[in-house]
Amino acid sequence: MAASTQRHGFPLGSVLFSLSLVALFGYYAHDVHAAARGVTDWLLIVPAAGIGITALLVTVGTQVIDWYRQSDAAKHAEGDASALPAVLFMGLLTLYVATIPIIGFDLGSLLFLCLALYLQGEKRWWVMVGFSALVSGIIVLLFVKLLGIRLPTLLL
Amino acid sequence: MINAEAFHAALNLLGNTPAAWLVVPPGLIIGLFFGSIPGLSISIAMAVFLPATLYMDFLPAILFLTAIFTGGGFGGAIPAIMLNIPGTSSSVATAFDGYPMARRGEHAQALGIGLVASVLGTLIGYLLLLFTVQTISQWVLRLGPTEMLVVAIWGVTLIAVLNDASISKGIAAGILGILISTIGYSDAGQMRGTFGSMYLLDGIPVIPALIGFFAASELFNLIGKRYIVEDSRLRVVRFRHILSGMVTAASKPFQLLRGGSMGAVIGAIPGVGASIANLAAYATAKQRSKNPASFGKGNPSGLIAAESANSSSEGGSMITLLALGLPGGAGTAVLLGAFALHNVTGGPRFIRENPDIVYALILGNMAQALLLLLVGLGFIFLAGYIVKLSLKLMIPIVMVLSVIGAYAITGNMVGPITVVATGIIGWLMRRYRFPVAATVVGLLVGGMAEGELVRSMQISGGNLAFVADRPITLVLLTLLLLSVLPRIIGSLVKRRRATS
Repeated sequence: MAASTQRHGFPLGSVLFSLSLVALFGYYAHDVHAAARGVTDWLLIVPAAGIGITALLVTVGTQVIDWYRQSDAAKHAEGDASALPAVLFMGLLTLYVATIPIIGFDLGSLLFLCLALYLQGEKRWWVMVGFSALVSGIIVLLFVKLLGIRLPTLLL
Repeated sequence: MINAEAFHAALNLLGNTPAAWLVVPPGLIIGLFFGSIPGLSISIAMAVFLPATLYMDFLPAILFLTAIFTGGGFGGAIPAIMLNIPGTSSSVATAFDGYPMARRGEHAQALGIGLVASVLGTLIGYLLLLFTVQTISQWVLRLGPTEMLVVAIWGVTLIAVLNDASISKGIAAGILGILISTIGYSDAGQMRGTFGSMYLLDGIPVIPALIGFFAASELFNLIGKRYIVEDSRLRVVRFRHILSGMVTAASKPFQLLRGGSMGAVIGAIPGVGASIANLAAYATAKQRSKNPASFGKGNPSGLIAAESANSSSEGGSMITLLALGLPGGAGTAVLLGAFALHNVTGGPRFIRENPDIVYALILGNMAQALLLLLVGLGFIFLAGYIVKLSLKLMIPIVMVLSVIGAYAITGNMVGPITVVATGIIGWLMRRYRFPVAATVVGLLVGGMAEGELVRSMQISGGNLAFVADRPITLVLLTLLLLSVLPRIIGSLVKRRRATS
C-alpha cells in the first residue's frame, strides 16, 4: 500500500523531449517560411508544424496536470528501464559510423563488434576477436564480392 | 469481365513457355533472401537482377522479376516478426503483432500465419486484377490530387490516432515524420532544412530512416537481454507450430479477404502501395475487432491483416502498371524498366492489344503465389532459428548489417548517419511513449501529401469550395472522420472520467 501513496516524480525527460520537438518544429517552420518565395513553399510545412506544436503542448500540459494531480497516467510518462546500457551502445554506434570514412567498414566493423561484445559482458578476448573478425569479414565480403557494392575498406 | 479467348491463349502461352516456370523458384528465393535482410529492399533485388532478364523473353523476364517481388513481400515479414525490424516498408504493420508473438515464443506460428496470409493475399490481389483490370483502369483515372491528399492524410491519421499512446503524442509523431520527409530540395526547387549540407539535398533517405526508427531504436532497448525469447522452452522451432499458424490464418477467411481486398484497392493507387495498404488494413482490423486492446500485443488478426494486405497490393499495383503504365512504387518502377528493356510500353493500349500476355502474367503470378507456399515454408524453417541465437551476438551483427545496408542504399555516409540519428530519436520516442510507427508513416507519405496539396491548391486557386465538387474526396473525408472519431471521443470520455 506504501507504493500507492508514493509521489510520482516530475516527468522531466518527457517534458524536455516534447519541448525540444516544439522548438525544432517552430524553428523549421520559421526557416522555411522566411525563405519561401510563395505560398506553395510552406503550404504543408507551416500548418503541419502548427498542428504538431499544438499536439506537443497538449502532451506537456496533460503530463504536468497528471503529475500535479498524481493520477495513474503520471507514472507511465517516463521510461522505467535504466538508460545507461542503451546510451553507451548509442555512443559506440556513433563512434563506429564516425570512423568508417577513416578506417573503412572492415576494420571499423571489427572494432565495433569487439567493443559491442565487451559492453555486453564478454570478457574472453579470443571470443571477441575471433567472432568479430569472422563476422565483419563475411559481411563485408558478402556486400563487396557477391552484391558488387563498393564499400570503403582498409584491409579487404 | 474476362476475355475467354485471350484467357485460353494465355494458358497455351504459359504451357508452351517452360522458361517462364524455371525462373520462378530462383526469383522467389532471391526475393525471400533480400526481403529478410534489413536494409536490402525488394526494389534493390529487382534492380540488381534486372540486367539478368536482358536475354530472356518478355514473359519469363517479367515473371522472374515478379517472383522476386512476391518472395520479397513475404521475406520482409521474417525480420519484422523475429526482430521487430521490418525488412521492407510494406512490413511495418507486420511487426506490430508479429514481434510480440515472437517475444512470447510463438514465432513459428507467427511465421506460419504470415506465410499463408501472404500466399492467399497475393492470390486475392491477382484474382481481383483478373476480373477487374479493364474496369479499374478507367476508375483510377478519376483520382485527382485532392483524393490522393486525403488518402495520404488518412494513412498518417489512422496510425497516429489508433495507437496505445495518447492521441496528441500520435499526432506529434506523425507530424515529425511528415516534416522529416520535406527536408531537402522541394519539387519547386526550394532548399529546406539541409543546414547547408550537400548530402541532404536529396532529403533524408527513407529506408535508412526506417531502419533507424524501427531497428536501431529497438536494438538499443534490447541491450542487456540474453535472448529475444528469454524462456529456453519457447525457443524451439517446430514444423507443427508453423503448420498450426498456417491453419490459424486459413481459418479466418473473412479477415484474409478483407485485408486482401483493401490491399489490392490501395495498391492500385499510384504512389501509395503496400506501405500504406498494410497499415490501413491493420488499422481497420483493429477497429473492427471485439478486442482492439489486444492489437499490438500479439493478436494473430493484426498479422493476418497486415500480411494479406501488403501481398495483395502487389496485384493492385500491377493494375496501374498494366492499365496506365504508371509504377505504383519502387518495385513496379523496376518492372516498368523491364518493360522498356524489352521494348514494351504498359498502358491501356498494351492491355487492348496484348490481352493474352496480360492474362498470362496474372495467371503466372497466381501460380507463383502457390509456389511461395512451398519455397517459403522451407525458408522460414531455416530463418526461424534466429530466435535461438544469443542477443549478445545478434545485436552487433544486425547493427553492422543495418549500417552497411544503409550505405549500400545511399552510396555515401548519409545512410549510416541517418540510421544512427533516427535510431536515437526513435529510442527517445519509445522511452517517452511516442508511437514510432506514426513517424515512419508520416515519412513515407509526406512527400506525396505535399505534392498533392500543392497541385490541389494550384487547381482550385486556393478556393476550399472546390472540394464540394469532388464527390470521391468527400466520401474519403467522411470515411476518414468516421474511422478516427470513435477513438477521439472514447479517449476524451476516458480522460474526463479519470480526472473527475
